[in-house]
Amino acid sequence: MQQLYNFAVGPLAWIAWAVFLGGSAWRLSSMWALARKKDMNAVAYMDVRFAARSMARWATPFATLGWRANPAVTVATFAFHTALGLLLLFAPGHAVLWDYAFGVNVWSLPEGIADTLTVLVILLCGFFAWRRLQLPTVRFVTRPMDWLVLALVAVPCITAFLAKQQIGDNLLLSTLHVLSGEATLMALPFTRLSHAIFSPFTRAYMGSEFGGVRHCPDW
Amino acid sequence: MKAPRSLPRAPRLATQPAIVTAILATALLFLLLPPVAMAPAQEDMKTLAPEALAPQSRPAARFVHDTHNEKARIDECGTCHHGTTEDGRRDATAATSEGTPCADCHAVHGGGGGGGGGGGKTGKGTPLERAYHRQCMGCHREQGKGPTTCGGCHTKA
Amino acid sequence: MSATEFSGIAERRIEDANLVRGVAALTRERIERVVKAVTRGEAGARLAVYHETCMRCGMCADACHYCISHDGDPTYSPVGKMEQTMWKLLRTGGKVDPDDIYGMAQIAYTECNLCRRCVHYCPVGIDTGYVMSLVRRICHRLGVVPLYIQDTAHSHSGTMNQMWVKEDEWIDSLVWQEDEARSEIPALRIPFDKEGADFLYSVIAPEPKFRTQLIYQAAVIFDQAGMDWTMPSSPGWDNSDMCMFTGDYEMMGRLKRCHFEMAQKLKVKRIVMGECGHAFRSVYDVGNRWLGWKNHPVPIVHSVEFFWELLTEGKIKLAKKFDEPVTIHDPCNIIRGRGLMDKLREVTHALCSNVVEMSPTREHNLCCCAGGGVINCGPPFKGVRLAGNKAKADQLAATGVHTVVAPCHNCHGGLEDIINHYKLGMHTKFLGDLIYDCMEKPGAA
Repeated sequence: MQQLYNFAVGPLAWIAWAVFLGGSAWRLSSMWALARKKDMNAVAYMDVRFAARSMARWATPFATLGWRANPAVTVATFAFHTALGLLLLFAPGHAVLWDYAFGVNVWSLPEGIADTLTVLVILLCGFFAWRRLQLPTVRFVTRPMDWLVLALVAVPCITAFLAKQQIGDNLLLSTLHVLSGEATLMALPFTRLSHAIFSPFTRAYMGSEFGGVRHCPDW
Repeated sequence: MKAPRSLPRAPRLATQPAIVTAILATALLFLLLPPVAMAPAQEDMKTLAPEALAPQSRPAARFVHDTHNEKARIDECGTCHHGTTEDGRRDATAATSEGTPCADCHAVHGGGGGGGGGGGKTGKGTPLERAYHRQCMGCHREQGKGPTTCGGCHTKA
Repeated sequence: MSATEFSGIAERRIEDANLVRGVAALTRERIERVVKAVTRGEAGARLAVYHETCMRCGMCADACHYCISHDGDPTYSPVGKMEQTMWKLLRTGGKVDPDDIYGMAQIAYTECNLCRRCVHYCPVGIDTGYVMSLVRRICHRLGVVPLYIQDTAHSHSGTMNQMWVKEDEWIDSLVWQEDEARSEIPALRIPFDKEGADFLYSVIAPEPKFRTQLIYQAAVIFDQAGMDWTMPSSPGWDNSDMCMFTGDYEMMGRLKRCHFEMAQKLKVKRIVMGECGHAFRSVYDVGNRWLGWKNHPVPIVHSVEFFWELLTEGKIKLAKKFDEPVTIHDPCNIIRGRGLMDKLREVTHALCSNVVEMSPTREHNLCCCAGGGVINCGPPFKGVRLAGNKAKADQLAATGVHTVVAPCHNCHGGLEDIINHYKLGMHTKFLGDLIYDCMEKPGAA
């Protein structure tokens, strides 16, 4: 198990990052090429200014009709993505690995805040799962893929929490944390998690179309 | 028209709660597993909690000095208490440094080295925390033995 | 709750002669071939990315008047409708049964108005209108289109207008309206084919067919405002486009080309379009792109904007104001499609002394449930519109007024239907109706 952990934080980490970065680059470039080939009637209207305007609106809680109509989802979505992003980049354990491997001193979150954010993300995963199970409008359109991506976020967070709090078999949980985290990283370009790389473009297009052609807010 | 046809059905939800339950059950299993309890002789215990890194954010790394070295078959003090060259680089042939706290040479934000200048907050040498991690975790990884996870060393007292 | 509590479209199948006939002629192989030809041959990255990144969050459910009117029934939500149609086709690679196509056609043609209100609800920016249009495209290529709207598409290809209006009937209708109007304004003309006029006035074929007085009113307004205008005597006069809504894009292209080329032949400076929403969408937003024009070979102006010009430039003076309280309905194709919500309000406030806004309003206003070709699917599906827009009826009733200003033909049809069905005691008006009533007519006999 110790060997597996060492492999996971060593060579496998390189593989995971390579798959993530290479996969993302490949998906974005091939999608862009396809858009240039098939969707010029949309691409032609792309406009940086209107794209930025739409992105800023949608990146602001309660600034759009959809956010206002769904306050619980709005709070959950913003908290979830913010916490997840902060933990990915600035979790103290992650910072130590950067420091150890590359001698790069990355700023990291105070332990207490990181712990709180981890619990928050886990609870919000629970909230999203609850919606998928309980709300007819969500349950009707939930596919196995939706459970997969939720699990890909939840499992690294749950194992991180247990390992950090030293509950259960620490080595096993640490190993599962790293392995599941790497699975998520590698799955990102190839599952619904790809909204992380594609949604800036769908948002930009909608903003451009509504700003430049339809002269109407898209929020 | 109500003829029986192949209908667009809601997704097969019956399997989905099962997935969630499985995830939760697995998580619960880990919760219930007792932590591996070690009961080393207290008198021999080394606790790495240098003042310089206070306040410590994780429990201090602790190990039983002699037991560790016996298991790891470390005979030379300099394997860990390494010496340095004149300009502060690690040097296996130089005089060993046991008795000198790590923090004397390794400043928190790097610097120190050689005979002088240690203990400060900034500089060019390997920073204290990185020095500890590379010293311990580096060897554990190289040897393929000994803990390398966070909680493997930073165990709760 | 059981897993299959919502079985969706299968439980509400409505018999339509052409859907039945079309589906009977399908094979699984043909469906698969056409689905692939459309999703991989015609569509590309946009569809693929929408399918992949739709997070199934369900936030769009609150956007759709069908879903609201059916108490949140998830099979009517925008994502629920995509799930039952395009998402299923993509997931299965088009391996579905002919009967599945029946339900998909019914959803795409009669349970989505392509109004795009859900755009305001989707954080990712999924364009449900685009996705449902592609479902219709597939259905069109499979020959599974509701009978009534298919008939209008046939009319387009047979006559280049939507209502089987023959050329002599068209000319006769204009001359008839000119005659009528001359009894009020003796010097009035409806100028045919006047080269180099300031603008070409184009209408939808239902105007000469059913609402001929609208041409009368427009002629009086333009004449009394001293406009240099013209109407064509030959095909190209109809700006409507049901082919856009059936998915017959080849025919849509022919229609739009005919319309633009008529304007170019007459060397007019711009095209002014009557108070119609879908035609505006077709000319301004969709047809031009199919023809490869990023913008438009001749500038396009909708009536709302044109009336706004006439009023703000003082070309029209008002003799009186409409005193009864009115409310404003915002047609999707000129509000969400062109951003005319402010001009619509300025014109309405200029004409009416008491304007009560609906809630929600402007670009967030609820759909009429007639547009997108849904009303054109005819009597078999009237009930779908009535049940599917209780939300609008409630919204209208809450204003407490008796007059709805709605500058769009489809909106008129849809609103009148729900007003009658829900016994709201209201009626709809075009801006042209109000301007004609309230304006000074210096040339009147």
